[in-house]
Amino acid sequence: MDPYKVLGVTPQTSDDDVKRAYRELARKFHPDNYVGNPLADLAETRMKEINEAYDMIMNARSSGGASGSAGNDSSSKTYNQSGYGSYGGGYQQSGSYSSYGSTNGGIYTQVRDAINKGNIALAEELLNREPSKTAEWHFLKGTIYYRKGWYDEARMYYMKACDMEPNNPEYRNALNMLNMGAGYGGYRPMTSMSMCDCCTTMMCMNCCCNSCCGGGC
Amino acid sequence: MFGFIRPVKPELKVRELDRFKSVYCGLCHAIREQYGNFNTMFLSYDMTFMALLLNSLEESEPDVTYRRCVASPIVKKPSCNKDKGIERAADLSVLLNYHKIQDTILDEHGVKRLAANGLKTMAKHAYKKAQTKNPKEDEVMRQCLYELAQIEKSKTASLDIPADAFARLTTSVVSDDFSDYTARVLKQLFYHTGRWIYLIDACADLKDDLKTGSYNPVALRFGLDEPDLSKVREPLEITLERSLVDIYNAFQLLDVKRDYELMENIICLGMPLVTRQVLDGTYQSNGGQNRHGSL
Repeated sequence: MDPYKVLGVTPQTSDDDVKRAYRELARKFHPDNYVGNPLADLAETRMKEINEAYDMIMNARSSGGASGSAGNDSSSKTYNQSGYGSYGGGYQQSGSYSSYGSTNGGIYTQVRDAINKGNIALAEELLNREPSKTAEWHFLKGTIYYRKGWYDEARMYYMKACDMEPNNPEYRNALNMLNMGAGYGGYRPMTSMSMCDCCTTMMCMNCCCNSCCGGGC
Repeated sequence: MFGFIRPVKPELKVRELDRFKSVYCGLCHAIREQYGNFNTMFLSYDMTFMALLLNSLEESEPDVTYRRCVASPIVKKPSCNKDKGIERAADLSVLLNYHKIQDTILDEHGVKRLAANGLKTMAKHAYKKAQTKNPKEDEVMRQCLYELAQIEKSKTASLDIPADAFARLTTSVVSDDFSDYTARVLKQLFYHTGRWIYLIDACADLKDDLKTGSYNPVALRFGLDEPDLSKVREPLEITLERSLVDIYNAFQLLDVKRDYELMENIICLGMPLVTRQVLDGTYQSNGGQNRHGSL
């Protein structure tokens, strides 16, 4: 693995810019953006690569003394460990449904297991066989639809679960997550109209000015 | 096919716009060379996005040739040379068009049906050719459209059930040539692109469908009898936004060799803009369907 290629930088890139490139990538592939996404494992692998590449570059630079100072190195390491690295671990727990107590024991635990293993077809089959439609049943049904990308159905089932048990934090959380779009730091297409950063705006303005002046003079 | 997927021009760099146009021209030339002039009539920006995406996964740099065509008979326009990505987009475009015409024949009555029958006869030869070349894809499309027709016939009051059938149809774009990784990511990307197109189309068609009494999942799901989306805007926006997020997240995982910014413009600006316009009801006045003009 070429760590520079992973981060899209060169050995000549300054420490600050490497850090910037790392942050940008870490923001994109952050596990929070891929909760319940069928591609979550791929994003996780990418995140791991990015973390490794960043560590490799920073370690090599500090030991070789090429361009980084000792102080710089220690700060980068702490950032990496307490920052995005730990989020990855946290996600695993919050993403796992079995961590919550299941009221109906047997069948719901099995359904949660199947969902966690990614066996959506099995989870769906198990759930459909269950005759009593409790709040948890609706929540799990919603979760299955969420995994399939059937977001409208998922939302309806989550809402039903919340109606039946308004004080359940798990159901409420799931509905909020869906309503909010991706996790924080994620891409919000409908609220952030302009993805263009300061640079692009300046460039556009520059173009406008040029064309006006060019025409006038 | 529908033309909902397009970049936001003012936010494009000049070279990105040139590139988009050259892929559009390249796709058109590829269709004409293989399938004749008639099939180029149905060229759309949706298919250009597909060509762009498939092209961006090819190792070799695309070449540009300056060529004349029916639309520009005097001035030669830069046109992207045919490669695997563009060729595939051309094939699938012909297949999809034919199935769309077939669908119209089943849905419509009177003059429109007659016209569609005429189009079908004219498109048949090209379709046979594309079908022989891509039998598996054709079979998937046929199967999905059959399911969709059944869903429509039974007046299913759901957004996701019919959208799923259409979304699976669009995933047939992904060929077996890709690595497992790329195939998985592309399938997710095209699934939600298809889902988004289907739902946006249903929203945009609401007025017409209510008038003619045709199947419209949005009307049935929310029990609408007036073409007013303002009351149901929230759930629609959430569900459409989720698909856009999934498209974006899948796109990030792709190892694209070129045109990253151009495609990001389409996904992050173009598609949300169209979503907003359709939900506001301002899509038609912004150059909407069938008269989207050229970029």
